[in-house]
Amino acid sequence: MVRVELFYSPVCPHCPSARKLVSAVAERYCHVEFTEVNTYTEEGIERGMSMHVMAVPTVAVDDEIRLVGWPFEEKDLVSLIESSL
Amino acid sequence: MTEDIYDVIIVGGGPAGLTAALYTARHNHKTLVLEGRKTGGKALQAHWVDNYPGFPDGISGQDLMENMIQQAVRFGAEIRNETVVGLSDFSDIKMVNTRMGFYQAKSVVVATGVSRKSLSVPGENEYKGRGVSYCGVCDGPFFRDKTVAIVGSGHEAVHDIEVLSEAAAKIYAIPGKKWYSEDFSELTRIKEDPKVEFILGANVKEIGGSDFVEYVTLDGAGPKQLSLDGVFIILEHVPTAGILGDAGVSTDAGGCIVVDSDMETNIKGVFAAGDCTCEGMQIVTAAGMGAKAALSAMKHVKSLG
Repeated sequence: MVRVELFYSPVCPHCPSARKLVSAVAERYCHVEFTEVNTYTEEGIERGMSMHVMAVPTVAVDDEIRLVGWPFEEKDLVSLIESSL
Repeated sequence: MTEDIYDVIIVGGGPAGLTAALYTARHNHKTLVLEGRKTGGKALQAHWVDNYPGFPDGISGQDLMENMIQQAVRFGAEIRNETVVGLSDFSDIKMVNTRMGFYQAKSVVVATGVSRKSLSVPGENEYKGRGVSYCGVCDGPFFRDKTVAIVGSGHEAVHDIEVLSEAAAKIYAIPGKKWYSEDFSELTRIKEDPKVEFILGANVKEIGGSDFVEYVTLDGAGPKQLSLDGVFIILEHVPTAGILGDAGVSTDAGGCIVVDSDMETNIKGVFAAGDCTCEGMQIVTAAGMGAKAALSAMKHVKSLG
């Protein structure tokens, strides 16, 4: 199982696009556990800071930060997931 | 690459470009939109748009732009995600070069929008997402009890100082060589905030650290180096009109494309619309200019016979 986490903020203008793309890609894989982490919550910011996340949107795969900022391409995300499967 | 000649090529797929495409395609003009980044432009970043007519409850920037894309495509506009790198004028035919090849058109509408100015100092790119940020509201919570600098002198920079003071332990406010661009109301509050220290008459020369940002160096008569955990670069937006150099399209001192009342540039058959003209700077004004440029472009195409 590959764990994909998307760190987002409800006030970040880039995040809706990132959330839409990451969730759509993650849905295609039955062995991907996808979690959205809202960094405007205490739990979310603690999780982000424990991983040294410093910007949103950030995509982490299996606890490792892999994509930071927007835009990123669907093929980059697919490649990350498939190399982790 | 194609040898077909388009009636109209639109450079930029934001509100101005997509509206222009809707108008020209709907009038059966062979229309191509070239957009190097995500189609929709800066408006995609708008979390919520409450001032675009026709949506009484508002609409997200993303949904609004997806609607505009669908509407233009419904009438036959072709959209290609290719970055335009040049524009050449051969009188009745314009040639638009992309990284993939070239396209020809009888008229061109430039709707390249604006982009945020970067600081362009060593370390800026290296530390993006590792202490360098461009949005205080978005990334501020990660800097709780930390020391940050906010570089910029516009309203957004001032706003972000106030936002970050809720989380950060210490803020260096670095407006650059001059004081803030206007006497914003927030400045009164910020001046009294003990967390905020103004660094005046200095520019950031370098951003450095190890895995994450640890310091900035400065020019000017004040401190030469500041130890910190984050740098928020909140500079003004500038027109994205770099492709126009070889074509000879006139811009003003600020890089804004100069157009006449028909949205035509100094080159016949080349029009411009939206934020790249530095007018309006709203989604609705960009759309209006896109429609106007499209009408003028179609008139130009008709004049060619």
